[in-house]
Amino acid sequence: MKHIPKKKEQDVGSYKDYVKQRVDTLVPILARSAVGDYSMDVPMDVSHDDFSELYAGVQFMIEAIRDQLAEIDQRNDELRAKIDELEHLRADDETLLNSIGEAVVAVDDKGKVRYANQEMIDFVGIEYAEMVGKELGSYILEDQYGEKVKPSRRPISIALKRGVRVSISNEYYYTVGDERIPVWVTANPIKVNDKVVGAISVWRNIAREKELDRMKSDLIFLASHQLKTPASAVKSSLSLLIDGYLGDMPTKQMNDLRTAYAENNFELKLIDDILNVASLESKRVLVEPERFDFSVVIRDIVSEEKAAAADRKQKLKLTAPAKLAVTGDPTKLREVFENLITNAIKYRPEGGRIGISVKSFGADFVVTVVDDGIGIPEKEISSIFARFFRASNATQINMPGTGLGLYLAKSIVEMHGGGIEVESEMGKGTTFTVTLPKKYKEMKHNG
Amino acid sequence: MAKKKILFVEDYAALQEAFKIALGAEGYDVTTAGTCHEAVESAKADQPDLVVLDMLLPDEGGMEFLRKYPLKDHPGTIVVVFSNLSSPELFTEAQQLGASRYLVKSNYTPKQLAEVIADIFKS
Repeated sequence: MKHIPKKKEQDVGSYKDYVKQRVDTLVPILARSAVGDYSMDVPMDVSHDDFSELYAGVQFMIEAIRDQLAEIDQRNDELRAKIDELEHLRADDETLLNSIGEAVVAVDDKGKVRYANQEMIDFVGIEYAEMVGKELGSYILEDQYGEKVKPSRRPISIALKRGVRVSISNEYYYTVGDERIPVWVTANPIKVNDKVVGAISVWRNIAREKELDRMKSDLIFLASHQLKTPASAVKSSLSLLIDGYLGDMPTKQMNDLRTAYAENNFELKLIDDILNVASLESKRVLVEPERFDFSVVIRDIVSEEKAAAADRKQKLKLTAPAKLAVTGDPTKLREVFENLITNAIKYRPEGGRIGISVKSFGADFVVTVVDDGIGIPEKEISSIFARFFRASNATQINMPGTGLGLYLAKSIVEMHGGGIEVESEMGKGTTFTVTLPKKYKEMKHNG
Repeated sequence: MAKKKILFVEDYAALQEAFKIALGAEGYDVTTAGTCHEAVESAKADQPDLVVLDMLLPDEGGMEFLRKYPLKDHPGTIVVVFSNLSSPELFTEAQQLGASRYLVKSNYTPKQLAEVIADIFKS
């Protein structure tokens, strides 16, 4: 390395100039660096003096900084691309949630609104910014009786608390201005690693469905009258003749009259069954629970059906406790067992016995109806509870039936929270087993 | 003993006829009415012991009869609703207006209705 010359006194002045000139070269470079501009290079240095190392050091530093900056830029680009991608995904999610056609709202684990889609905002009629961060419970849902649904009973609260999916079978209403809108509400917990971190709720405006439902029930109402009245007139006129109010009737004519009477009754039953199915399916049928003695009901049915059984030379045998207190819908449950017992009578050849037993098992009771009739073909057993289904051997023996009785029976039993099972062997007979809770509980939430 | 008076309210002629014959044969004094208006007039004039009341009538419904002929003012009259319309709402309303029974028409022959009526008079 070359040393700075300083042997002569007069050289001191020029030395100072030399140092100044060497340093001055670096000043603009360092000044720019200080404000983040690393574009200038240190000039090529051929002096090989003490400053050369400094020049090389500064140049090295600038280049190192440039490399680092380039790397940072590249990382920034990558990050920006990731952010763009996430933004897109978020926009996609938002578009998805906005296009879903249902009002969707998500809350955090405290029940505060994290997100609401456009439909939800429109539904409650409140600005997004005002909804977010507030408890969803402040948007008041009412039940069908106009009572406020307590915050703790709301589907989203239950989903948060229990971590289960909640859907509401009974209806809620939300009032916007003067309009009371019926809503169907479901809520699902949002889980991360099995921990509930929030919940998402969907509200659906079911005003249109309700309107259709009302129209359907009006139609059912009208049809029940229009179809049944003429058939009732036929029934009453025929029974005037059969019961002898219009004088005696020769046996031959009487037999034909009885056939006409039975066919007409069958038609009335068919109308009733169809109307019942229509009502069940429009979900207008509700269980109207009351406390009653099931033993009385089953004894009534058995005594009513005794005549029909006697016509076919069959005996009905009932085993039931003296009393059996049950809470349920007596009219609908009566229909279940009437259907099962009439089936047993119809599908059992003349003679023999039909056994009906009622037993209490803790909170449940079990009714079995056993016949030794024609049985149900094995491959048809799984279909017998389907609407309008009739077993092939039942139609072969030309036994009239609507194919709705068992469907109705199953629907009613299930509405009560019970179950119905069947065992059958061709030519040996059939056993229906109905299990029902002694106390009907309204199933508000299923989840 | 005087014959019990029954007012049979029904707008469907064939039904009216059949039930009138059977109830007459069972020993009742049967008057018929085909509209709510006729029924109210007839009831006011005759003070029947029992009214068999259809729900759907051409002028006004059977419920209207129960409002225009309030049973609390006519304690001697029993009303049996006899209709193919059946719904829990109708049942409750009729009961609140004082009807004793609600029978679904298609389930009863004239003879069976006469038996129900005989039971009602017995009790």
